[in-house]
Amino acid sequence: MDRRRALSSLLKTGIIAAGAAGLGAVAGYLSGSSIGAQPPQGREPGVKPIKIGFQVHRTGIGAPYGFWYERVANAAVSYINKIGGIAGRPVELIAEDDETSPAKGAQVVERLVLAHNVDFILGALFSDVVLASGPRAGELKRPYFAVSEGTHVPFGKLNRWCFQPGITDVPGQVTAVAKWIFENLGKRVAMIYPDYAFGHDHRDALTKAAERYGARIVEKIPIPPGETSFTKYFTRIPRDIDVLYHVMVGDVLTFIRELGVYLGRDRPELFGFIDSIEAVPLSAPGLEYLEGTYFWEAFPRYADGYDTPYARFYRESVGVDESGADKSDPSRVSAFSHMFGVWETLFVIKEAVEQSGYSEPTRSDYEAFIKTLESMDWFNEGLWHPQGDKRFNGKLHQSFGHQFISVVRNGRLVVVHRTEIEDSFYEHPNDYTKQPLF
Amino acid sequence: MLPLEHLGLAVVDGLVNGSVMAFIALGLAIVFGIMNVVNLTHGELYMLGAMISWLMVQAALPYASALVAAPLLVGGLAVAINMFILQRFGHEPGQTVLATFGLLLILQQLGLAILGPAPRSISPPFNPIIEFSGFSYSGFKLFAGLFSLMACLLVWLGVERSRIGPLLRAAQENRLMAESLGIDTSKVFLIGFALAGSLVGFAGALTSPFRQIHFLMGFDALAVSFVVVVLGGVGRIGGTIAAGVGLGLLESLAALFLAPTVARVLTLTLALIYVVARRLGSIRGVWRY
Amino acid sequence: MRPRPTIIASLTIPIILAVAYPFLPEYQKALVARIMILSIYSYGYAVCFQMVGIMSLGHAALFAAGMYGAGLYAYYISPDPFVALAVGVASSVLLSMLLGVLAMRVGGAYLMIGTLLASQALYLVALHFNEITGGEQGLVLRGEATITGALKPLLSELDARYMVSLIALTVVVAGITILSSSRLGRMLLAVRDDEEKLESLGYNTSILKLLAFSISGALSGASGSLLALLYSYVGAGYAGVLNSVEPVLWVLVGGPYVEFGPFLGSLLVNLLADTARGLLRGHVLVVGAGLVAFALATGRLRWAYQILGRWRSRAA
Repeated sequence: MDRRRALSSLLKTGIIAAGAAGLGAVAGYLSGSSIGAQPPQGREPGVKPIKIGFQVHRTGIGAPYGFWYERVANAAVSYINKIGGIAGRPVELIAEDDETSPAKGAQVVERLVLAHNVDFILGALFSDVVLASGPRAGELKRPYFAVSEGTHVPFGKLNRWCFQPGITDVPGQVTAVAKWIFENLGKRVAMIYPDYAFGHDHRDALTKAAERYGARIVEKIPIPPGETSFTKYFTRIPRDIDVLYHVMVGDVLTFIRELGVYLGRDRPELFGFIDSIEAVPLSAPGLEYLEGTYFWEAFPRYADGYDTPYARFYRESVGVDESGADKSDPSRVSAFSHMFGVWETLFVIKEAVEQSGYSEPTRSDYEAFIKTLESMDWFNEGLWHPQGDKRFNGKLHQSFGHQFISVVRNGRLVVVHRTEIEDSFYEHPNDYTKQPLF
Repeated sequence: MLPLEHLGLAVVDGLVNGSVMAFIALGLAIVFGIMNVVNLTHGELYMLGAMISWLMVQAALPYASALVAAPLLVGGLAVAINMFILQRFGHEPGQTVLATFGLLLILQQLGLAILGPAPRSISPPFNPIIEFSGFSYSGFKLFAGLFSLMACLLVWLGVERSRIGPLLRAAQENRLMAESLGIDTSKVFLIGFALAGSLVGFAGALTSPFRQIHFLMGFDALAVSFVVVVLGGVGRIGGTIAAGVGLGLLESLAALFLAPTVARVLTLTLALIYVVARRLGSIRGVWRY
Repeated sequence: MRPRPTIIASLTIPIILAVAYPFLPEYQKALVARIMILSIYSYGYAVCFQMVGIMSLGHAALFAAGMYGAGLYAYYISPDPFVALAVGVASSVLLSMLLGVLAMRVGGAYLMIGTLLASQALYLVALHFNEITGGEQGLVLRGEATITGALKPLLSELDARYMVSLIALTVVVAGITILSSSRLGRMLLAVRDDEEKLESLGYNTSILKLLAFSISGALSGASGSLLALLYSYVGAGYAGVLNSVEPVLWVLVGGPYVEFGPFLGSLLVNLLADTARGLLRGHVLVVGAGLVAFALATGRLRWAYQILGRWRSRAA
């Protein structure tokens, strides 16, 4: 009896200890958060801040990106406030979690506008969230800035209030790198991609580019979502191809590991989109097989890949080291090829506010703001645009920029090519400027 | 013409994935299948097993130690969930659904806090590439598959042959009668949860060297486990094992002949027909009306 | 047997919502409108779960059938939102009759998994044919194809959404009240409580279950259609498993009265989530803790036991 009681009390103590440890971890995680809105620093009395709402993927599938988007947004806002804010007014960032869900995303837009009355909305990465949010923003008449790479903005699926000036889109990226792939790696290509719209955007853009450059996509292997084992699909990879093009097929660490076992040493060239391993260190067990394979990058993860004073300043400001990892925790690798879009978008807002004389969320001020933004056609490389200069198409509301191609050498990414801006141009009939604003 | 080595690979991979799937579902087969408690945290317990494995390897401990720690800790957590929450309302199904879904969210956030948002991985302790005629396969994955199958059969025998199985059943089916016969039902639930939790924790640690470790990995594991348990016939551990292996094999073979998503949809449809047919006793019964 | 609330009593919720409207702050108007639409889905689920004791884990497919039916019609065929609404409801009724055949045949855990498998298969199909459906990214409906667009000359979007949701909710609550106090409603309850007995009395319980499943589908589909036509977005995210689990939670939290419970449950859960979202980073944790606390604090959900407690005996 005594022994039993002792055992059970031991068990209870153990459970309580484990529970306390768990709670401690959660508390630490919670305390890292900003409670509600972040007060701008050095606010002068009487000066009304510019409020920028921020829809962020803190939880859900987009969380690896959301973490870094938030980090960059905070860094950019604190830098903007240090250099005098926007049009002399401090910036206040109001961030809310959208759970990477289209339903919650649209709800967050309503909250940001109706409850917080923000001046502008900095939007999300995942295309479904952007597509569900854009109509809300258009209806509530608040400019919405996606940092998503999706085709929703340029292809006219949204409305005149939605912009994507800080990051290039998938067709632009694929068009730019396809030429290099076909010329340098080979013309017989097999593709492996997720069987939903994001993957299909890649498939369509690469197929179109292949037609233009006389290459052939010999096999297309779409993978259903939620897959945890990939070997069964590899038998579809033809043995006589030059290049295997892969992008975002779910559990990437499992995918690469199984691909390595299946293909072995005698493999075709591999070309991937960095999206698959964004926020994942190349040293992660299982990624050894990527040695010698190629990746698209928007902004090189390793500092020497594109070493400019602007890039260095940006890296320093967001707290990322030479190899693209968090300065305070090198195992936490950044989403380097996407998150710069948040930084650049905030400076586009600053430029457009200052040029248009925007001051209040009124009809006339928004009209001036949007028309000014639509008339911009060029963003110069600099502290505000560290990834490089960009051509902005005011009709498509979309930026076009340089892309990078890197090879994995000694476990790090080494840039082998930087595309020209023109390489990413494509034709599209969309013209947002013809839509009425109100 | 289908090359023979593709068929061989599909069979081996299907058997391995299927055995692993069955092993992951085994705990749910006990808690839900036999004891009739809808434990929605099952998938998160699987994630925690993998997470513990990752934490141990990060702390420079050998992988083998994770195979001990994960079942102990996850089993302990399952016991705690049972003792401090589910037992409080006598495993009342309505409350159980709500509470375990709430716990699912909490454990998922715990995973996010500890693992971080990005996927993690660890190296297998050994991983010779096994050469079959015409294809190669990961040695560790093959080991994990065989191990899963053995463990499944062992648990099956253990539960069915020993006093545990009838006890678990009795406690669920008629609590009052069991208690009047002098069976301490709360202890039986404790045994059931400890067994189920440690099994799924072990499965998490076992699969961690060849699957990526991510805070959202639990939800899919939960759905798959439920499907496997029900396909096998609720309450039958042997059925769960057969269903896991069968489903793995079916998915793998279907992917040989069909476009991947079509193969997946077909697998789901066949499973659906099978569920209905099982219930009705025969395939013909489906079309009775 | 519990006394059923009269129609006047059950309409207190819509009346309160109507009276409160002018006093609500703008954001709360938008939030409550959204919750009203979702609660129609919750009512739909309750018809299955609470009234006949069928537990489905595939209702997201019915919700999405309504959403896609309405959305695709308005997007491709004709931008008439009211016809689109009818098409949406019709398509989910059609699907629910197909799935309902399943519900007639099997019960308990087998039905749960059967509906789960079916809805997963349909979800993959929606993703796969993204050239039509927009896949996981979804489609955005043009203004004139939406109800808010059609009502634009009369009402602002915010008002239109609230009014349309309120009218829809009122109709649903009234309908549910009438149904539950009708002979049919009592027969459905009898199926839940003692199917064998009803069968031995010569009633065809399969038809009753099919009927309930179809009504449930119509309501779920109406919710999906309205969401598409009021918020101009259609996407596969709504067809996922999580969207099948949510109404289970709402109905369980809402309590035993099918006339009020589904609304109260969705209101409570969504308000908790929304309030927590504005306050701290880990708002998902708060929702989780809230559910656990609710489960611990509430008395035995005896009404749910009648439904859930027997899923094995029915299935074995």
